[in-house]
Amino acid sequence: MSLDYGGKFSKPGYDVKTADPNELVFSSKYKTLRVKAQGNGIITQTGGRQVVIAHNLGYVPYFVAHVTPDIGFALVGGSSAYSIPPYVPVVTGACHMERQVYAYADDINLYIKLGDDFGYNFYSTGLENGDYANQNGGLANGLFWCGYDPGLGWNEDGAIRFPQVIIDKSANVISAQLKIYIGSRDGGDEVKADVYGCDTDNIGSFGNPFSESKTSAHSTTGTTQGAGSIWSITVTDIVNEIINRGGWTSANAMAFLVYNNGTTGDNGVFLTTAQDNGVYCSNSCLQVLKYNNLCNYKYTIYYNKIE
Amino acid sequence: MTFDYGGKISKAGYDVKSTGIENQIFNSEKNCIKIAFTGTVSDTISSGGGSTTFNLEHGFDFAPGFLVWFEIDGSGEWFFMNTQGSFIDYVNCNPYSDETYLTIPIINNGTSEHTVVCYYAILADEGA
Repeated sequence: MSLDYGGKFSKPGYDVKTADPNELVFSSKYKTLRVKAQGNGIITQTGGRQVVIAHNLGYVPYFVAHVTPDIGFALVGGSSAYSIPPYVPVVTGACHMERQVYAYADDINLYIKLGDDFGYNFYSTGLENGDYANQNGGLANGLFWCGYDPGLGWNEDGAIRFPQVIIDKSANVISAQLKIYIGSRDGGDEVKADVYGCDTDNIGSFGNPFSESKTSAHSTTGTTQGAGSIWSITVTDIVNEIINRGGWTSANAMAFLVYNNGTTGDNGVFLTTAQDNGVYCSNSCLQVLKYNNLCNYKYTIYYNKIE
Repeated sequence: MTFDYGGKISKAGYDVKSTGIENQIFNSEKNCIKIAFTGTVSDTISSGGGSTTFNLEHGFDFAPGFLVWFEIDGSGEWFFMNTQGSFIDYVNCNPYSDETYLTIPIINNGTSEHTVVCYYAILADEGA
């Protein structure tokens, strides 16, 4: 006995007995998408920049996820528009950034995650001599160092300036990272540093930034990273201290002083202009996150099985 | 002769004669997405721009809609088509359809060789 039964409905105006597949609204010959679950929410920085949605089907289901754009970068379609991941804004001249949102599923969960750069604003130096300074080396476009040189017997202290940092005075910066591209390096041991901000409303092109007042907030850090890496230093408290100054205005300049902090031996990291030439996202930059709520998401999980 | 027949089914708890479309699970006036074919294709693709392309003949005389997910190196994690980034070593899978084929190009722009499996569902409905 065969079980050759079924049913179909045609679109209005088509004879159900002769209609082509795309002229049918339903045919038991074809599977349809069957919805198991739908939902929505907000992906936040404090929530780990991801959501995990349990489906517990025991197999990988079909799914689709939609999210709103990166509010830290561009508002394609407006802040309330949803798109299907990946969402990857492209700006001519920008260096590579992970600004996408991506979704994937396994046997248990649906995951929606943000790329590492999603939500962040990036501020570059002006690529001028007055944007880079060295305690014992003067000013030079793109030249910055930090560490210790036993041959010369001096600390290698560097300073870097960002001429236009767009943060409202009322903002509460969630996270700020100073990124230093390590163009070259002396030694392989840890370079130890203590990082301060210049405690100034709007610091001008460098003369001697090491004579400026320092912020009370500072960041003790170090790196063993090699050439080609980006040294990431948390400066959230420093940035908040500067924008809370009475005279701070959005788009003012901000500068950081990176002092050697006990590096021993011939160990230092160096940045040069050749590695720091992006106007949208220089390899050395100030990366700032101003929002905790990063994007809205909607998802649909289907019963259909990926197999 | 007209063909003014049809049917609708409501969600549990709603009167099928009066409830709106949002509370119906089937209405013959509204198209259902119909899955005509499903399957998988796979290949091992070299790093640094290695690529492979699958052309899947669908037999329709229109460019059908489609859904594709892909898995890398047997991870058990299936990504929606067009996903790319460092977390999948810059492998990308950007499919498209025309009146003859669903075409699935896969490019490995990463630093390691990868085995990529693509699951596809070709719809018996025209793409948007």
